[in-house]
Parts: sequence; C-alpha cells; structure tokens
Amino acid sequence: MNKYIEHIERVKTLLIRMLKKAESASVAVWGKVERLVGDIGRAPIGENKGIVNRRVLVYYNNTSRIAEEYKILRTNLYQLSPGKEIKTVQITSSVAGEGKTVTASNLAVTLSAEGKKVLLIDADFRRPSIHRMFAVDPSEGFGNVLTDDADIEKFVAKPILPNLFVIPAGFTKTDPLSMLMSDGMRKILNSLRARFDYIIIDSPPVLGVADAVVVGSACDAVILVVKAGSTQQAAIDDTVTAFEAAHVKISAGVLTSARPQIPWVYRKYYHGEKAKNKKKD
Amino acid sequence: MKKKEKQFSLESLSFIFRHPWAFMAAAVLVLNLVGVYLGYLKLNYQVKAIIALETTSGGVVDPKFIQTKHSLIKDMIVGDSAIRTLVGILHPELQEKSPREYEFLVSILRNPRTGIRIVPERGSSQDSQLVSISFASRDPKFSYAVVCATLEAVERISKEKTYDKIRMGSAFLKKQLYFYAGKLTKIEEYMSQLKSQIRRVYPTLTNEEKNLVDKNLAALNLTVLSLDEGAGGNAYSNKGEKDEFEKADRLMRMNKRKKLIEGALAEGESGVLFLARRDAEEDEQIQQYEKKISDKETMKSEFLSQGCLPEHPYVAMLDRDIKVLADLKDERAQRLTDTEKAKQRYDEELNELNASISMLNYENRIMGEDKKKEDVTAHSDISSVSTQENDISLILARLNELKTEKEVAQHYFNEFRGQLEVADLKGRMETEKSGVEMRVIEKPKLPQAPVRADKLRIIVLGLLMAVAAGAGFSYLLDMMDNSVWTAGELRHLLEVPVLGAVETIMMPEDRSVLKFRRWAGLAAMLIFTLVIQIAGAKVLIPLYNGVFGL
Repeated sequence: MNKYIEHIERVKTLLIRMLKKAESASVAVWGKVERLVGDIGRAPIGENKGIVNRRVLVYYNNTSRIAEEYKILRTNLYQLSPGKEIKTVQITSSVAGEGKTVTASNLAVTLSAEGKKVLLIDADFRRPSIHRMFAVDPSEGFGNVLTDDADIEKFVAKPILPNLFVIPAGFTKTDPLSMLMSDGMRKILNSLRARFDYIIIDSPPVLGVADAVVVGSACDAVILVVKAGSTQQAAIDDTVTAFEAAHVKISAGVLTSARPQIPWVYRKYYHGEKAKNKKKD
Repeated sequence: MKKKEKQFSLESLSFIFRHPWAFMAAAVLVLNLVGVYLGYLKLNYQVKAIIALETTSGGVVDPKFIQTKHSLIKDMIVGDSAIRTLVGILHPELQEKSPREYEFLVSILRNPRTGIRIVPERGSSQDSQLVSISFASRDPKFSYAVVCATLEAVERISKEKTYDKIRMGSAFLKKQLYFYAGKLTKIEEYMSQLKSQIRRVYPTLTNEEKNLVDKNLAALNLTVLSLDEGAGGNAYSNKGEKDEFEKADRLMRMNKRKKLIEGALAEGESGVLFLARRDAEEDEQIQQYEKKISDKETMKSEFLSQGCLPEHPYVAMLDRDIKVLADLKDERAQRLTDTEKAKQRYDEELNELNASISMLNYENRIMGEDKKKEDVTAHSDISSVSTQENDISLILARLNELKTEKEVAQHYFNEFRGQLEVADLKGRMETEKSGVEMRVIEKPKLPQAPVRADKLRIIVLGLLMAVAAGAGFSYLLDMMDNSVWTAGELRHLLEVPVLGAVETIMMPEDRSVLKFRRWAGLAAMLIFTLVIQIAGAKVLIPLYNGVFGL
C-alpha cells in the first residue's frame, strides 16, 4: 500500500513541477510581449517608477479602454447623489476575490489624476492588500492609528503619488472588529473630512465577517463590487439584507470582470493609440 | 427610453459565450460519436429492381389491383408469411435442416432497417404503380438472390386469380344445363324401363313380331342382347350405380394386380425384378420428382433467357435443387428395384390384396341382396305397366317417341354446355386480363461495387448535431447558473444605480494562466478524442458486431 502512495506522490510532484515550469515559461514569454507592446501610450513614470503595482493600470495607461471605464465610474460617482455631499466612500463586496482592492486603487488614482485630493485607507485587517498595490510600509497603518499606537499625521503628511495619500492596514494584536466598532474610527474620519476631497476605504467582504457593515455605517456611500459570472444572486441578496439590518443603504454597484456579451459585435472602441491612428487613416 | 422589443437578437445567443468550454465539450463529444459511427459504416452491396404493377382492364381501376398494390407495399414483404415464402424460395431445405438459421434469416429480412425495402417509386399513376425492391448486404450474391426471389414472390402474388366473376356470369346457363340434364336422365330411365319390358316380352313373341322388334331396335342402335346393359353405362346415372361401377372396377384391377404379382412370384427372381422395374416406372413419387425437376429446369432456362449469367447464385441454387431431386429420385428407384426388398414388399401387397378382395366380395354380396329386393319392387311396377300396355307395337312407338325427345333434349344440353364452356373460357380470360400485371422495368443486376456511404452528409449532419448539442448544453448550464452577468441584472437586483462595468485587468501572469488553461483544455479534448476513437474501433464496434451484427 505504501508503495502505491509513494508512486502517487512521486507522480504528483512531477506533475506539479511540470505545470509550474509550463506556467513560468509562458509568464516569461508574456512578459516579453507586454514589454514590447504595452509601453505604447503609457504615462510617464518618473520618480515614482516601481512603487505602483501594474494592476493599477490607470496609472500606467491613462488612455486605455479600462482607464476609460474607470473615468466613467468616477463621473458617475460625482453624480451619485446631487444634494448630499459624498466624501467617505466604502468599497466592499459579498465574498472575497471580487476585485475590491483593484477597483478602489484604480478609482483613487483616477480621482487624484483629476486634481482631487484623495485618501485611500485599507480597513481589511484580516487580509490587507493595499500595500501590494502601492509600495508602502505594511508594518504600520490604520489599525495602529485606531489603537492610538501611531499618529495619523505620519500617513497624511506626504502623498505617495500627486494628490494621493495611502494608509495601509497595519498590524495589530487586538480584534479588528472591536477596533472598528469603537468611536475612534468615526472621529478620525471626521477629522480627515475637511482635508480631503475623497476618502476611499477598502473593506473586507460582507458575508462571513461583520467588519464591512460597521465600516459602512461610518461612511457617506457604500459601493458594492460584484464580479460578473461569479457572484451568485443569493450572495448579493444576503449582502443587501446584512446592510439593511444595520440601517445602512448600499449607494451603488460596480460590475467587475465585465465582458461584452457577444465579443465581435461590441468591439467598437475609440480608445488608445491604435484606435486613434485608425481613425486618422 | 423604451427598449425596442426584438423576438430574436444576437444577444440571446450570449449563453454560448458565457460557457464556451461547455459548448466545446458537448460538441467534441458528439463529433466523437459521429466519428465512431463513421468508422462503423459497413460496405454494403445493394441490388435494386423496379417493377410496374398495372391494371389492364381498359382504364377501369380494378379493386384487385389496389388490393395487390397495398398488400405489396404494406403487408406483403413485411408480413411474416410472405418472408417465410421468400426464404422458402431462397433456401428450400433450410427450415428442416437448421431451424435456428432459418429463423435468423427471416428476422434479418423482416427487419425494417436492414431487410428488404419495398418503396413506391415516383411516376406512379392511378392504374399503374411503380415499385422499387432493394436489398443490401455484405455479400453481393446474397443481395442479388434475395431481390430475385422477392420478384418471384411478387409475381406469384400478382398471378392469384379470382373466379367469382365467371361463377356469377354463367349462373343462368348452368340452370338451363341442369334442367336438360334432369330431363335426359328421366327419359333414359323411362327408356330403360321400356327396354326391360321388351326383353321380358321378347321370348313370347311371334316371329313376325320379333322381326319388327329387331328392325326397330336396329334403328335405335340396339340389339336384343344389349338390352341387359341398358340400365348401366350412361353419364347421368344415379350415384349408387356409379359407386357400384367403381367398386367393380376396383375389384377387377385388384384381381389383375393379384394375378400379376402371383405370376411374378411364381416365376422367381427375374419375374420379381421385371415387375419391380415396371412398378418403378409407374411410381407416383418418382413421377413427382420428375415433374419438379422439369419445373426447375424450365425456371432455370427462363432465368437464363432473361439475360442472367450461369454463375448467378440463383441459377446455382436451382442447379443444386435439381441435383438433390435427381439424387432423391435415383435413391427411390434403387430402393424399389432391389430384389429382396421387392419380394418382401410384394408378399405384403399380396396379403393386403387378398384381404381387400374378400372384403369387397362380401360387400358386393350384401349390396347384391339389397339390389335384388329393389329390383323385385321395380319389376312389380313395370309388370303393372306391362299389363296395361302389352301391345309390343305401342311400346315400340313409345320408345321411338322417347328417342326423338331424347335427341332434342340432348341437342339443347349440348348447346348449353358449349355456351357454358365458352362463357367460362371468356370469364377466365377476362379475370386474367383484369387482374394485376407485373412488369419488370429494371432488372436486378449483380453489383460490382459496394454502395459508397454518403460520408459528407453524415459529417455535415454531425457538425450540425454537435453545434446543437453544444448550444443545448451551454443553455442548460446558463439556466442553472444563478450568477450576475450584466450591469442591467445587477441594477435590477440592487435597485440602486450601477456606477459602471469594468473589465478584468489582465496581468501577464493572468494571461499565461489563462493560456495554459486553454491549451490544457484543448489537450484534454484531444486525448479524449483519441481514447474514444481507439476504444470505438477496438472495443465498441467489435462488441456491437458480436452482439447484433451478422
């Protein structure tokens, strides 16, 4: 019996090695392609080269199709509620992996590129990820501010990009929920309100943990990120119910991973250098 | 803005693009099955004949024609009895030799998919039906033989006649004929009475009177001596007398046979052999064999005269039948002429003959006594007549009168019989004409090459089926999928505005993973295809052939 298990293990390791090799090989190839093709139309990086993750595509390629989509997102955010001033925006989703962080980062960069003063806060203490998007020190952050371990001025003194300030999640020993529940967060947000045009808070998913609802109650607007073809309708229903229980209303939704329904019918875009050249011809 | 309502738009096909892999997997599966089926396709040799069934009664559609047409197209070949007839034509001795093989052949021919196909052809009209008869099998000769045998069976069915028409048409004539036959019988009975009267009176007459009687009888083609036979031999005598005559005939023949056998046995071996040879010549079974052989030979010559090669399997079959029949005949003759056996047989026959003769004699004796009693009563009647009419000249005058009357009745009888015969013949001819005539328009030919399977059609159909299966499967998945796909759906669900829909930002590593998955999926499909095709060729088809195939 052990023999068989040994054999299976050996085959397994071999397979995994093969798969890894194949993947890494294709990564290398695609990296080259990206380098050859992707530089066209890219914004100048200058002194901040290497501090922004490539997933924040808006920063690198301001005229790409996706950048245009984020611009639409930004415009719609301006007009979300004409009577009410919206400054603190929570970005959350039903379950993990729907694109909260990427959406929040790109939206923040898009807003800052227009001259708005933007603060991006990572409120996901369980699986922090904003520090991966922007090269900031993850050891200290919003959690430390909440527990009075660190001063908030330390983070809002210097922008990481023009007009963009980032506070990572930081590292705390106490329960994140109790930190958020405390009055401290509301106070901090109120104190920062006057200094920024927009404060964007990246929060954990709603289903499974209570953090997101607590954060939402302290924010002006809650934006629910939904991944197309992945998020179940039942999960969205549960999310809405969870917010309603805390008397928080979801302000808007964002669909990520969206793709055209029929590929060749909707491929008429007017973005990017290529499209411009084509138009000239 | 109100959305323009469309019954069908390209967007309604979006479920295919949502589940491309499900679409491809189902399509590949169906294509594989089609591939296995293509590999299974057999090379069949098809033989086809076209016949025309026609009604020849001058534009009037005969019900018999429609009946035959329907029975041919619907019931005849598919029908069990018809198939059995056909197999009987194909292999006359198969049912006795191996019943299992026989039943198997019947089941194959009866199968609507693999069996004989009888299809109405185009170009048929109300009174003429074109029918194509075709059969395909792996053996070209077998296909050919089956179609030839089917043609023969169809011809047999179409030659079936009904004689109802004649019977109805000649009813009047028959009535007349019976009337005159009855009249003739009565006259003859009366004449025989008169004759017996003359015979009784004759010895008592004077010479002059005797001369008169002789003269009159000569005019009636009779003599005094032949008067005894008067009551017998005519065609209209009653049944009892006929039986008696037959009985006497039998007795005579039996006596003759007895003498023959006795003589032969007395003569010894040579006598027995001589008799046995003579018997063999007259043997009924041997004669039947000879008749069958001659029938088969005429069939064969007809077949050859229709342009068929001597190597034709049907001819070979006929040859084989003839040989078998000849062998059977020789065997029978040999058995009959074997001296020892013949002697034994003759001894037995002699015993039987003796028993039968004694039986018949006994019966005759009893019958004879009954007859005598009847005769006594009859004679008493006649004697009463004779007392009234004792004058010989009166009797003779009556006899002459009866003779003319008989001649007249006979004339009419003959006349009506002739008319009836003509009518019968006419009716027979009409039925033959108004029945169904079968004409072979396209003779069956021994196929030189197998039927080429229409692979292109199967492939095109398979592709369509694959697309349909893929679409069906992805539609099923889409129906079961409960996730949000479009911004519209999300807005509807949340009841708040949707700020926008953004695409996934693809990093090189994401792309590579996607690409790797794509290639892995294609490779899996390829491996699946290989496995299915090899398994299909090596396992499924042999298994299928082993269980259901020929």
